[in-house]
Amino acid sequence: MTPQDLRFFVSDVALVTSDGTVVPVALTQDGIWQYKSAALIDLEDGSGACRNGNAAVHKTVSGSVPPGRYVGLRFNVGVPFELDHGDTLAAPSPLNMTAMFWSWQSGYKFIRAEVAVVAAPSNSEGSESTSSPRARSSGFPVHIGSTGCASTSETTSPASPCKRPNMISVSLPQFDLSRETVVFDLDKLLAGSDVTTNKPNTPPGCMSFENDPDCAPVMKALGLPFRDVAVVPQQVFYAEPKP
Amino acid sequence: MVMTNSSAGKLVTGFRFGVWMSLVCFLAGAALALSASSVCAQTKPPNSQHVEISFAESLEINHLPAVRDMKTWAQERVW
Repeated sequence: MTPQDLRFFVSDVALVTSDGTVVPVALTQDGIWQYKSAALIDLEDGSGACRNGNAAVHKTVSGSVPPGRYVGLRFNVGVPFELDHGDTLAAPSPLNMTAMFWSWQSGYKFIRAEVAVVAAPSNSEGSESTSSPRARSSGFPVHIGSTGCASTSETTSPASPCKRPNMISVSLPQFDLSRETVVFDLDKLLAGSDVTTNKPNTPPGCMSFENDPDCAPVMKALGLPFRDVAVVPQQVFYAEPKP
Repeated sequence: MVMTNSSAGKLVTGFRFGVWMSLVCFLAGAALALSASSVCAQTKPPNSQHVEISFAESLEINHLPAVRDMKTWAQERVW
């Protein structure tokens, strides 16, 4: 299994003081990676299997807060509704990244995580007892974004928030800015998924659609509501000491 | 009360001293105000601090029970 892409948007970043006060971080408007309250984290460099990406990477969100002592970190993974459904071709960077965009109606892919998988042929491709061992190269893309967005067409922005925003809330009550980093754990994201097969008549991997059973374990790992699956705190993002 | 030349002189001297002291105090205050407003004399703390939040990826796959690579698949296969 080979990672092919890993990008995601973060927004509404805030630090938390020891008494629990949440202080928003005013993001540096760098004209490339950060715009208003949203920033794109780009962890692929276009090399190797990440051929659909690009060489530029962005691993650090920068901004300013009032002077103080901060002990925790909060942020959302996703694009705020007011920025989520515009014209990506006319949008300022990083919202002009078409690889992260679905449509005006659905908005941006909040997370784009893709892996290539070499798997045994499935039964539909022939009986394992009679066919030759042929590897089936496929992928398991995970694209998380809002669904259930009401508008007249794919090229029309919704006037009101989507039924399933799928905005992921991350709260790290103990986070040392100078010594720790936020980790996106691919293993945690895919731990409950069978990435070698795709449920019949569904999009590849998980495209966030509620009728796709492949999304159930992914959504659960991200702490998102999905059909009748119990919602638990997200498992994918956590703090770790800087290397 | 009769003011003598001596007491009048003292009064004038005292008045001059007061004027000079007022002038000195005014100049000292002005200098202090100017220095406090200069960029180099800025001692107030900044009203914001720069912060950076770093992100990283963990791509190590520890447990994907349904994933079998070709080698495992070939070993399990009944030929």
